[in-house]
Amino acid sequence: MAPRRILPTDLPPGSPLARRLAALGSSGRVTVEHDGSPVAAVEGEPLAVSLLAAGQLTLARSVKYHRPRGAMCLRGDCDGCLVRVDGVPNVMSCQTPARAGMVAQSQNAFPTAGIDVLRVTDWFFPRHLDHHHLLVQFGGALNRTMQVFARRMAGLGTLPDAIASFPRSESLDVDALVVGAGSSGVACANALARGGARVLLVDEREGPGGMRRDDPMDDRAYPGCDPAVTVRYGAGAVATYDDETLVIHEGRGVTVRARARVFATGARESVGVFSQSDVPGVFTARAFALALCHGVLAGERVALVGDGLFARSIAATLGDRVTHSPGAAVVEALGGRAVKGAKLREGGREWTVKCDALVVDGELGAAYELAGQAGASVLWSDGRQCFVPESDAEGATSREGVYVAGSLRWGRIDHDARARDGAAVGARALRDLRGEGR
Amino acid sequence: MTAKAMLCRCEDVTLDEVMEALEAGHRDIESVKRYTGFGTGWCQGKQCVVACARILAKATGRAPELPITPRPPLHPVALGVLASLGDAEEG
Repeated sequence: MAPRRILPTDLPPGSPLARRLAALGSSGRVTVEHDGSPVAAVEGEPLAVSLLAAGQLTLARSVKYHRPRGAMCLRGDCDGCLVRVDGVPNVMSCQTPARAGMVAQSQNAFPTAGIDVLRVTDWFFPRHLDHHHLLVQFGGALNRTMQVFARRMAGLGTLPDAIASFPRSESLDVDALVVGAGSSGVACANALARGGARVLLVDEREGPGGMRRDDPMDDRAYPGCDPAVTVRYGAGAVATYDDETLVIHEGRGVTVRARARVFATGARESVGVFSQSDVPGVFTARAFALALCHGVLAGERVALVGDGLFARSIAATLGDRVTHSPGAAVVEALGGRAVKGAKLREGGREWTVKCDALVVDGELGAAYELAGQAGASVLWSDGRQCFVPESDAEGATSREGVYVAGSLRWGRIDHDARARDGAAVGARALRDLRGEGR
Repeated sequence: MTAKAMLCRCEDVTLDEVMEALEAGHRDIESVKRYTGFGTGWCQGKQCVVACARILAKATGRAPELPITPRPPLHPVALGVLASLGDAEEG
């Protein structure tokens, strides 16, 4: 069985997800195209989710071994869902809202992502192909031949169909920029605005809520933004420099100058490292939950591993439709072009489950990159087993005017705690803006 | 497919390669990156830097203090967008 769309009536009555799907309704049905075939989509949902719902697990091939690649994180944090869209290569389809008539093509495969003859590279080098060293140790003609071979075989998509024109950029001047409209980001922006600061709140997603948008057990309304906050959704911060932050809003560059910058960029999910973890059909629990919140069941036979928030919400929503092993670790994913099963281990016992979706609530990292670029000191945390920006009790980092809030700072804490943290960090940033000292 | 454990899926770097880098004497995350190329692909390490740090911690008994330097941009950005930054509308 393949992934499919579900209806509110497929779920137990009173389930929060059933209420969310009922609220979505059946409006906005559009058709997109994938490799020449029509695909039913819902306007505005991530294109990767539309493709998943149509059973298109394999979207591309990996750069070197031409191993199948498919959506894995649905958060713009991996290479899984890159496709060519309307003649433009390397589009992250998880970050691209589906629109009527969109033409998506799989890339980096010959002839198609499903049957790619270049996958022999994977068989020729069963352990690995150490291209960094192998390709540089021969001199002269042989080296040049190897380079040509490597260029043909490897790499991402091919050049765009046409020369694109880009809209004029924009430049904004504010007192405070808050990146991330989850629970802490919204609370922080509100605290700043209520104190009289001119605040810009940006989030790469289509609305507020952060991780709550992806939790099928959470159907409560998101706290609103104060009307004084300027909000931009579909606006991702991509770079921070000394006093400027570059935001990409609907394909347009926006340069933001802000005296205070608050990063509420959250945590980052990964499935961890195990054999065959890259096979299409292996998802982070958050990715699977995100698809569910769009009414898409990413597999019919679901093996769920781990005990984090998203694993618990998936188990609570789907009940005995999933095989949940909260304490297990994945030894190996089974299957070639798509996942067929998994070898799991717990307390010295090993067993095999059959599945067409392997969902792992695995390792969490902090999304520290932007805060780090802005100059905050980022250090390893033994407690959280990841890199975290250093911050004081009120979220101030080692760099003046740079603050961190919410899950980025604390890991996975509950909604109310994230909101309280955001408000406290906002109050601190406000004091610093007014020059009231530390 | 052959059974590979991908540490860095963007650049097809396997766990095996990282272990080989360790055996070759590379004990810090920056050297392991330069030796294997992990963390240099599409996602720039969002998926693999932490995984590699955990492996180093296990193998050497000490986690790296700092990550590989997070450089802009966070996601790949079209050069056309960057080129258009010169003539901004003031907001």
